[in-house]
Amino acid sequence: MLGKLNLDALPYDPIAIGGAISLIGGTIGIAALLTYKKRWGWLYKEWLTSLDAKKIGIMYIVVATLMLLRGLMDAAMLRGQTAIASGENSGYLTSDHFQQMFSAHGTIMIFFVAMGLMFGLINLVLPLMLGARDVAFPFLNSVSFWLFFAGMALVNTSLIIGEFSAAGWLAYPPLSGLEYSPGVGVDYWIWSLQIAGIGSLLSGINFITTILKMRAPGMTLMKMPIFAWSVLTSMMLVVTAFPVLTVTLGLLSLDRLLGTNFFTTTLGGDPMMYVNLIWAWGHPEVYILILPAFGIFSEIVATFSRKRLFGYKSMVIALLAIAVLSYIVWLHHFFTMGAGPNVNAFFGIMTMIIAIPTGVKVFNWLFTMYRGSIDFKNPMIWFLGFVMTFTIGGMTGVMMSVPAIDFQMHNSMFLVAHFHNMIIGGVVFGYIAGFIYWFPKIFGFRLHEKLGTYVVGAWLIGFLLAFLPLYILGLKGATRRLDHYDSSLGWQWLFIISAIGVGVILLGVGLQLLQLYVSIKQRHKLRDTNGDPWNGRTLEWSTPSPAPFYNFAKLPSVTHRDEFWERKRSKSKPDASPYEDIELPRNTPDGIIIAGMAGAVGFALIWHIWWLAALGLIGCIVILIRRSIINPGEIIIPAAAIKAYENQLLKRTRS
Amino acid sequence: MSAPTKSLLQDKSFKLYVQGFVFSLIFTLAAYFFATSNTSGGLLFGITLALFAFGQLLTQLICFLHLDQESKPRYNQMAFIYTALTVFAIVAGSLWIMHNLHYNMKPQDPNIEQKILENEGYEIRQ
Repeated sequence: MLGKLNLDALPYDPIAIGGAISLIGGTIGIAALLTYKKRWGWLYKEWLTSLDAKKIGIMYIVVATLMLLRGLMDAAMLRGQTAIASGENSGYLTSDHFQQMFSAHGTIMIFFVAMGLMFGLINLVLPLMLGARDVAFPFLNSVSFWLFFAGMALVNTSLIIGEFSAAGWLAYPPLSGLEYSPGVGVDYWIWSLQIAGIGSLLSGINFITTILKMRAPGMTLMKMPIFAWSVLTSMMLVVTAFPVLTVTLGLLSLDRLLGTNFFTTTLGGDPMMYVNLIWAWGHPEVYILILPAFGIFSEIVATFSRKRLFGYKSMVIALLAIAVLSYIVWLHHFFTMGAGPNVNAFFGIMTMIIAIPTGVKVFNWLFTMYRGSIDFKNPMIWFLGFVMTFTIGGMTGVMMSVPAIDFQMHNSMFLVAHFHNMIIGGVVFGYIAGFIYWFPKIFGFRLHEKLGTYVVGAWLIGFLLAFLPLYILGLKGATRRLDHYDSSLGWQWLFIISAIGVGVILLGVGLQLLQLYVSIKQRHKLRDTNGDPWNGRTLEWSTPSPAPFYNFAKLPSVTHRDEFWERKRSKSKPDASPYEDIELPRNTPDGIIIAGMAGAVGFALIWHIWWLAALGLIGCIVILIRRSIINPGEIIIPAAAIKAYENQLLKRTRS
Repeated sequence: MSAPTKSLLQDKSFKLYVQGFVFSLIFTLAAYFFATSNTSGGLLFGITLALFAFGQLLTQLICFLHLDQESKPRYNQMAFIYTALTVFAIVAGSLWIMHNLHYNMKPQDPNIEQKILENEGYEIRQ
């Protein structure tokens, strides 16, 4: 009846129990608070079933933030372990638990933090930037979010029921095969990624269509804000790369469920094919994450330098070049696997070439700042921190693209330092900067500036403390995923510095939460009264803050690249045409139901509960068919209501 | 997002979807039974399987993505070229990588080092 599931699946070692209790406690706490405040109905009607891209975006960011806290806790435990586990001292984590923890850390940070922040920010601002009321497929958007949520829920379920994968964030076979990982950990990993991955793929389709079809009249592709270009290229990569992930994980799960031999060493299977396929997805994935961050920084630099972005065309060409080149570099993740010098040389050279468009961007940003009148607001300070860390990361990346050097660095702490340099210094800094930058547009007030400066400081110092020692350790020969080392190696002081760095980053995150709290308390003082707190350049700043649920009362028409800036400069009169009725999609719980069933299918396949898997799958299909036959229609907001609402907004602006 | 007014069966594309469904099933089943009934492998076997896959690809493109019906917006063409390019990069790259790997790492052959050295034109001095 319940497959492999029984009481042994509950955690038994004290640290695992601690994790489970904090997760259950947190969930119960939130549920109790909602019940106490009688907010369940509100939550359901206003948020969970909403198809408004801005609300979906906020939900993405809330989930990603919670997951960031979980991922950081994992990171702190890992670095805490390596700070003390030298020589006689074996630390507080068992090897197996350590392995589960770094696997969970990697999986969560990439799939549920970085991807979540990315989709969240895109949902928040992309329609506003394009002068659109919503994304192209609002219902699909909700399904994507809830699939992402279901994947996240599965990862966290593994804390309480069963275990998580101990095979690293990409679960190479044969270690992830049935022979070496007979437990349910790898299955949790497979199915949470599979479900979240389908959500990502659907989002990719959605945003591409939005950009191609929903732009305001007059906005040609070359008049699009650069952030929209970066999203377009990133989503092109999503749509072409994620099917590769789906197939690869599918084959691995066939190996584990049905006993096929795609990635075993017997019967003609080949584990190296898995490594090849997973990186054919994995390399584009890192560009999927970084490209929107580039777009965010391009907007920020132009806004806070009070200048047009330098080299818009070269930016677009660089983005497109990356979208193509990122598909022909993936072997650099496994130079050491045994390919010959000609293969390694080809992929090494391609990797060096892809650094060129990235370099073009960095210079474009610097030239945008040149002779600009720079306003050192928080987002701009994040940008400056990003340029420094990202350049260090880029340099070490080019270093490792030389196969001969990579043979030395492969699987060392040097590599760990390199990719954290790109992902924290590039992706995370970018999304945090974007969040601060667009926060007033969504919530109607700015974040506390001074606390924000401390946050940047803590993140930056913490980052450097945590990862520069890892570069040195890597050169000294420390391998990644190391939970214990000999005391004679003299590595401990470096690991201790690194652990202190993680502590400083934690302090930064704590300050960020404090900043959020203080800003909410002082929201009247920090209110954004005219909808344009930073003297912005693009269309999203032409709406009042917080942006109304229909985004634009009248759809704008566009004649310039920096449309809003040109309007302000030419002091153009506001559009005097009469208001028209607005159609908006009706809220629906179908997204939650579909994702809930998908999550049930995943859980059932992990524990071999076949009836539940079949039931969930059939349920998904039935809901989808019902949804495509019965059109729930739109709600129509009459022109008079919009006029009244807009006037009310105007009055608030003037007061 | 206008609601469809015609019934499903009158819809022109409905026939195409059914055709696509049948064809995709045929190609899937054909490939499966061909692969399971044939244990010898070999080049011809591989090519036949690849042809089934190609047929499947065409079915999906024509019947479900309606590639032939609408050629107006240029980005349709661009999207197709980009997809073809990435598929080519992944397929050709994987074949090249895996072939090269097997050439260098064949564990069954005890004389592999000798052979590689000869193939690559190294002189072996005793």
